[in-house]
Amino acid sequence: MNRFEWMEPASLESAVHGLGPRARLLAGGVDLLGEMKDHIALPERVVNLKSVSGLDAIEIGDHGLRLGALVTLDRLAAHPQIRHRWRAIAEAASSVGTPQIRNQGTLGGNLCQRPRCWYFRSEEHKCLKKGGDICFAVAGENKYHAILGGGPAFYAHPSDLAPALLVLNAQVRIAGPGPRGRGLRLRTLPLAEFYRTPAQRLVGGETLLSDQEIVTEILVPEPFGDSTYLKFRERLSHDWAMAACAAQIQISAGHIKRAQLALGGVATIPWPVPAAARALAGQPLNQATIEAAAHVAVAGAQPLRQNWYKIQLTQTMVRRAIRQAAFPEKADFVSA
Amino acid sequence: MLKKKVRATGGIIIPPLNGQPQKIADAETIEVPVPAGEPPLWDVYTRPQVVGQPIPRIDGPIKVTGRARYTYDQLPAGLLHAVLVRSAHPHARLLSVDIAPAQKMPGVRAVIRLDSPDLMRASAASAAGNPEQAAAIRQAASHSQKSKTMLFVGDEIAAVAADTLEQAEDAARAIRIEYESLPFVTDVAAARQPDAPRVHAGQDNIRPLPSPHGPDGDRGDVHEGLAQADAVIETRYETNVAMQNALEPHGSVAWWDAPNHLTVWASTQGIFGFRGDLAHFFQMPASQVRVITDYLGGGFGAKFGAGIYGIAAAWLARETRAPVKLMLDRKAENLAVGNRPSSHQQLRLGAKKDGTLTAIEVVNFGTPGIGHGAGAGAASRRFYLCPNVSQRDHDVATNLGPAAAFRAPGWPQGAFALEQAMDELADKLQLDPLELRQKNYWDKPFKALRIQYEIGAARFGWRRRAQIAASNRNSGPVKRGLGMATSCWPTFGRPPAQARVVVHSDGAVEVTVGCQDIGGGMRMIAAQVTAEEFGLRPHQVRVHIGDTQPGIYGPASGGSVTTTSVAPAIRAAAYDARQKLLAAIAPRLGAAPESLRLRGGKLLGAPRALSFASACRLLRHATISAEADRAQNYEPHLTEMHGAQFAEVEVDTETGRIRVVKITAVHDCGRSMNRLLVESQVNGGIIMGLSYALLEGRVVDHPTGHVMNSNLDFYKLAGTREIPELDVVILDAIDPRGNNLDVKGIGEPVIVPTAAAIGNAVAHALGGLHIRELPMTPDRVLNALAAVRA
Repeated sequence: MNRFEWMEPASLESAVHGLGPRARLLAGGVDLLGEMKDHIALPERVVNLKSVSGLDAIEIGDHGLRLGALVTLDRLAAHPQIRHRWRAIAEAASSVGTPQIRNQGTLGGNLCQRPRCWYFRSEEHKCLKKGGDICFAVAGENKYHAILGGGPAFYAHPSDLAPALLVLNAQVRIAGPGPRGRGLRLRTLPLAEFYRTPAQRLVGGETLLSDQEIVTEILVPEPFGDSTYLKFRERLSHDWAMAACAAQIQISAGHIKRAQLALGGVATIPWPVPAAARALAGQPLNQATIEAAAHVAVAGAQPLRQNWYKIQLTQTMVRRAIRQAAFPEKADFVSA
Repeated sequence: MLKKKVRATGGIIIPPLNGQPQKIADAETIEVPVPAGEPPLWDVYTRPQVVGQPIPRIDGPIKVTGRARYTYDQLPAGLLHAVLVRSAHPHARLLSVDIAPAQKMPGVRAVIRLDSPDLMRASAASAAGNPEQAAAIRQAASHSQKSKTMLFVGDEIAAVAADTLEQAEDAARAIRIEYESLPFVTDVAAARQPDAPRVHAGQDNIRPLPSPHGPDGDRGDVHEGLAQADAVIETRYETNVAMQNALEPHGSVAWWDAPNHLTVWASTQGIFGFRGDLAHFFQMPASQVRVITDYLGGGFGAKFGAGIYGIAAAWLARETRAPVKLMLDRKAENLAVGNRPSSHQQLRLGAKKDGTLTAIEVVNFGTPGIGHGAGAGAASRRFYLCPNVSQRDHDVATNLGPAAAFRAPGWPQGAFALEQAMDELADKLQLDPLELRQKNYWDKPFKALRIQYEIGAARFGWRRRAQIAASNRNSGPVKRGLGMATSCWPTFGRPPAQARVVVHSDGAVEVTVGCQDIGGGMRMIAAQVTAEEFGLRPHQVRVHIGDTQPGIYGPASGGSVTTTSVAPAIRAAAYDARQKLLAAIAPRLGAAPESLRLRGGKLLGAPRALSFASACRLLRHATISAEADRAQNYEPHLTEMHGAQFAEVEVDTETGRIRVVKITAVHDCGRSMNRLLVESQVNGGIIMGLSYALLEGRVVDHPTGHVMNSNLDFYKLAGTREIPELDVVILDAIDPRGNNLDVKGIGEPVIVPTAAAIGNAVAHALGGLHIRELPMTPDRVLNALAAVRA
């Protein structure tokens, strides 16, 4: 780990102004500490967001759910009302890492974490994501890599919370420097617009955040239906998704009135699949409808040499997530 | 040595099961040649009071509360911290190593270069458990100035000691190294090509390993055997390189407490081997080196000898005149200090219609990296009574970290292939897999396997197999399967091993042995065996282990020898001390020594009963001391330990997930010294075997020659949610021909069959489709299913 300056800002404004091209923001630190110990992050300054108060609230009001960026995953997983009304969030949070990681890791950190690609995490491999000129995964070991949204790099985005929040139409609130670099500017945008594929942004992050911007809050409207997050882990005890599917579905008289679907672990960004949602909308809830949605969910997939299996695995997750969201009271289906 | 013939009865003790009382099966009385000086023989009818009892280990509480101090926890005053600098290239000459920038860094106390060929090669051989080879290299080595060629990513170049670990790490990165890259090869198939880059200059990458011949080795003529067969199957299985990942990494804390005296805390499986390596290297008397392993955070075969890390720590300590701690990080653990080699096995099995085996042929290529010893064990030679057996193993050198012994070296690979081939053969012959094994049973004296098969099958419900296969046809995507496999491991325990027992005049009893506790519970076993002779409880015995200083020798813990080698020496010493004690106090009681007995904490047989402590007070201030050497095994050829494991799995055919629901394991280790300790070894072996079967495998990026999963995020070890219901049954296979406790080892036989049993259960679930590669990950299951559909 390199030497760095430690900053404890007292306000969001000073946190924003403490950031810059050579600084990194620390929340739970689960990811950043690993990056620094692996020498793939060498910040000259670390800005401790936890010294800013008021970013760890869970509020439920008329317009839905407001989640501070510093809310820990453990709290999301345990919150009774979130478990009841925004189930996908609780399921996604409880699927992350281990109890220790969930106690420490934050919502904002989970959304902004860096790829878990082993080439990206290797100091010795100067890959496209680290300013190099090759994605080693293309000719190398790519079993865990992306089948969607790839090129020129092929890492899989590791966030579990993002797919869940995508199907719940969440918005993300971002603080950054104001005009001419002074003061504070807040902006809010749909989470669906937050991420950037490697074709859109290669170095520095997987989101549209500038190096002085901070995710402060996530806003989740009242859900229109039941939601779920289904994650397939190679190792159940502690793992990132090999493939995951979040779903929100509204059923009425045996028909699907409205649906939202998103994939995790298989694309370079948390991957909304609106075409699959459209394939469900207005259709009777039956095997044929579910198959059609699973089919279009992986349309355009471009597997690498070792990850063809992800197509079938993803389709399985889509089918099972739809059933799980449609029949939340039934536990007779097979889970991940 | 003078021997007398003693009659003793062996047999299999079956513990109380399913409401049935304990039973003795296959009892047979034989004459055993027992050397003079051995305590009275125990046999199948002996009912020890303390030995064998399921008493929780005496060091359990201090381990789980964090008070046990491991090597990692040793923090003597003035401690410096050291790190190693390693090659970033898979094959390279070092053009220059500039340590000057590191020497100027804050807190840095010493920087040493480790790239002279003699030091590097000798130390590596020593750590891999080849002291003779290491000594030969040292003898032959000139003090050449030529720098050693780097042979893999992780090869050692230099070491740095500094006031803090962080300063040492910073300084290590400041060393400037210029490499000249050389052609390299890390892929086994590529390394086998005639035009592949040579890993070791001037040597073929492929090296055939010697095949032992004889009753337990290659025998007969497999071609003839295959010609005689009614059914022949030809098949292949592959296993991946697995990493050791003991919780505590390799390393030591070294301290020159006098100019010519070195004290080292080491995380080692062999304190005397570690000591010998340091004494050799520093050209000093072994008596001037003390190695201590109070508590060992795991060792699976890669922690013999001092290694480069151990030598570097002591060298830096000498340079700095301060204690130096050098423990490897997880990445180094997974790059440089030993792994289980891969295997690529082609098998042919031949059998008569009734299942009688006529031939077993195995041809195996595995990579030990830059090390050696990628054989697939001896399952093919030892499991079944087959007249024609041939196994040809080959090392395939690659530019990767060296193999080392790893819990039953070779055998899990061999069993994975052989035992699935047996199931394929059973399928072809339309025989039940267990029946096929029973048909080829190799009967040996006091062998428990026949009973283990029966007990395991009954407890597990093996008869459900046909019904489960039928219901799979109508089930959803999740298929259920039952599979089993055989285990075997030779009895390697033997001399030398020593023990000393001292009785003090206040009744305190101490036992000293020279081995370390690799985790099997040696402290507890030593206490129980000693307590037995004195009629005490084990907690009344004070145990000293893991220290070379008393000069009581103990073997390295490898080959499942520790208990088998050491415990009989303890009993001999304790028995001797007891005899001396009784002889000393009998006159003061006006009794004959032979009329006195020690039982339940009391001295009985005297005119009045005395507590043990009161009896010892008759010594006044004297102590009783007895030392004993482990006697030779009474007969040279002992039956192996055996076992059978039965696995029940669910395979999700839409995700490829294999979930192990339950494993029933029936094992023996001669007489078990403590049922809880034995069960703990069985549990650990199964979990490690399950992890090997389903998750573990080294991933190498062949274009760059780097290991990509050298941390515990990417190298996946089974966790709590992978662990199935474990049903463990321990039989006592009493073989009076071995030693005075009838004890054998258990550490290794328990991992041998696990992956094979799971593999067979998966194949049963999938209608005979075997997953031919380890680990059996979801992608491989889905790919295998897709290949069948195509």
